[in-house]
Amino acid sequence: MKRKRSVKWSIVCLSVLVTAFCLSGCYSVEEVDTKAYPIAIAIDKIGEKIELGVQFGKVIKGAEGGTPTEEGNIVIKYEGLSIYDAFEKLNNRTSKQLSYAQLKAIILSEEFAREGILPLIYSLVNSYNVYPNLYVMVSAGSAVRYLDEQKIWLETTPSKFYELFYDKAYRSFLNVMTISEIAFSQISSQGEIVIPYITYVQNEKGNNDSQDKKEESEGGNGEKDSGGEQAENNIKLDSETKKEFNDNQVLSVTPSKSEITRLAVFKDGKMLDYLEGEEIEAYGLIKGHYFKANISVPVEEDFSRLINIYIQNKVKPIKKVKIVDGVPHIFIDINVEVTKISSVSAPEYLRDIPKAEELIERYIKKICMELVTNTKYVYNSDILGFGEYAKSDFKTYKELEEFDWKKNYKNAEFEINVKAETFTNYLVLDPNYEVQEH
Amino acid sequence: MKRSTVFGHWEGTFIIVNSILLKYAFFFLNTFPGIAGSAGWMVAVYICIVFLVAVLIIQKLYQYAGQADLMDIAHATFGNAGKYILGFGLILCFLFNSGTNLIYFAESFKNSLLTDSSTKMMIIFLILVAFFLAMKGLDSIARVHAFFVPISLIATGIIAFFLMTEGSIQNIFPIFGTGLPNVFKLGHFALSGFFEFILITLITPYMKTYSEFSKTLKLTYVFVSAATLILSLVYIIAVPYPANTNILSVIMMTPDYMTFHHIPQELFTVFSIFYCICTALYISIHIYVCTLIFSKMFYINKTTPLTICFSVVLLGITQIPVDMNMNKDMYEIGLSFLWVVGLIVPIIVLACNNIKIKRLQKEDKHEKKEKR
Repeated sequence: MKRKRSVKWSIVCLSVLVTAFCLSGCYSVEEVDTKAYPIAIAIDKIGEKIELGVQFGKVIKGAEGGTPTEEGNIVIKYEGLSIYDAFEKLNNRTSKQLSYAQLKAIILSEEFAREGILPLIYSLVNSYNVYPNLYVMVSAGSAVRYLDEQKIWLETTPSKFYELFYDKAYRSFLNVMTISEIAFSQISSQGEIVIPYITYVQNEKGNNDSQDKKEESEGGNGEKDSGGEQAENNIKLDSETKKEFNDNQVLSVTPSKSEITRLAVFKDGKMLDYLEGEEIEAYGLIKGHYFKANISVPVEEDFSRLINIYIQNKVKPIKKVKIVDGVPHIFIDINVEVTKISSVSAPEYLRDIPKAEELIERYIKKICMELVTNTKYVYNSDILGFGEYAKSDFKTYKELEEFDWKKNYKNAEFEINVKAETFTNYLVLDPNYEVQEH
Repeated sequence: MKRSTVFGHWEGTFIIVNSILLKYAFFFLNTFPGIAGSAGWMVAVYICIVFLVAVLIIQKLYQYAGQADLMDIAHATFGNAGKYILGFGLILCFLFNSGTNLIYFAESFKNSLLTDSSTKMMIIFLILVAFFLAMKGLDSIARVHAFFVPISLIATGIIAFFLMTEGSIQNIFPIFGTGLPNVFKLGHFALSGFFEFILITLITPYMKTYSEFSKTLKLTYVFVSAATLILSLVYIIAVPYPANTNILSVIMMTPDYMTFHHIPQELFTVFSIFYCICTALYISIHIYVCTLIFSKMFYINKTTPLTICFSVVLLGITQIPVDMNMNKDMYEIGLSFLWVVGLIVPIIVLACNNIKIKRLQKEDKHEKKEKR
């Protein structure tokens, strides 16, 4: 009897072991060191072909507390007739097998984005290999160049760089879009998409790099010299920054020559234009993304007199849509919390907080109204996603489809109410106050 | 006859709850928005009301049936013919249901956890683990259920909470979705999710008393209906229609679509282990019940060879669909009739049994009167 039991148990244990080994994939010869892990991919359009740039993160020596000795950035480029063709060629070219499990960001060139990104996004969302929370960005000029310029020295795990860079908590302009969010919003007609738009910081000559690139592509051979000069400048700047960092032995941020100060506007998956400046502030405030960031408010349209405020959306803006006689009426209630106010050029507002609040409310209302008017007439694209709120005005999907929100959005009428409340906690900074008192 | 295997109402409840809710966690939640769009939660309300009526009727009818299981009742009511028809019918339904669902489970694991592994290998190993569990008998199956299913329920609750925070309440509009008539016209497809409820009529003899059985019924109803309502609503809020009709593995893939903080993201990976265990338990109870029904039909005492046979048959069924489209078609065919087997057949059998008992009682009384 005892023997029988022990036989049974050994069979059970053996089968559990076999199962465990097989499920964990240990039968496979694929080990971590036989795979290469891209952390970002860039897609450019060159004529009829696609240029694919793949960035591999390299865990750097001395990353754990020591000084970095080499750059953790390798970019491999390849051209193909389609993205999949380029992927395949790239896979054949590299010794290791490409695994996209660590992929964090996908950067698309403006030219590619203008032709439509939805087929790519849908195929990536349905892919086995790629995780759906992948950040998407549009780059002015070449997207592969953006990857080239990223110097990921400082993070121990390179893929963390994109998480830290694009998913910051304190932000005013950054509208993080993942491929799943884009797919969901497009499949479910939840409004149009807005994606971060990468531009390049000004070089020593005062020109914008992206403008240079544009000129390069438009011009002939003579433009190459300016590009080469600029590359030299970049290298010079790089070596200086690196030296400085190495000397100080303190590394806190990753130097990057690219920045996101614009948001690309899309309609039906194709890029139309971009938002910048006040439009981005208004976009953040209406969407409810605005979190602990600064706005400079001009006093009565006089840009030489500014009050600087530190604000955030106190609560998510209340948005309501009512359809009256086939015309959408959109009501937006924005409630912002002002935590700091400072001004040198208009100190009278610091002594009269209600007056400052009124000014802030007027300013926010103005920029928001300008944005919604632009979305209506200029872009004709519901980038603020009011269509989502219009659904509550219909009883069935049939009624919603018959109404055709996208067609009727240009007839929409807007009403915006702004409430600014100040919670200063003695942080009203008036530089002239003491002088005047004495 | 005194049985050696006896368990309480919690074990019984968790067997049924796991069998019904595991499908929800993987793929069944797609059915609700598939039927009525954003009004999918109304389908959940409708089927929960129908389910309540069915539960109350079964509870009432079982008062006269004592501790007998459905096979014994069918035998007593319709004779051998009734027993064979019901037995073969149930075995076919269980094998068909578990076969199509098993492919979905394996495909979900492939999508979310083991992207490089073969689906067929996963099916083989799940059946292997389920076979060992089924071989050990209902006693061990019930106790393993009572340990792992509550953990999985808590895990599901945590995931649902995080999904809720990422969703938008606007996704439940238009309020009537694709139309209110769809809720009633096509609601029976969602009702087929309660097919495994029939298990309760097959494990009745293993419960100590009628009150245990009654408690199991009530607890099962509470858990299943609460989960149906909450999960369907959360899913519709988290993922907008029609994107939510296409997600293969709801509980394992939807968190991937969201951008959560690191801690919940790590937790979701840990939870997937419990879902794997629950899948093995789901398959094991199906294999065991097929064995039980067959042994009852032909009075077989030694069930281990039968367990091997049914495991092999189940493996064979999973090899029938050549692709996921064919499996989806088979699964939809199942949805169109399984609700009848799961809820209507037990009611008919129990009602006929009651009529027969009452008729016999009347005849007895009549005979006694005549004797007097």
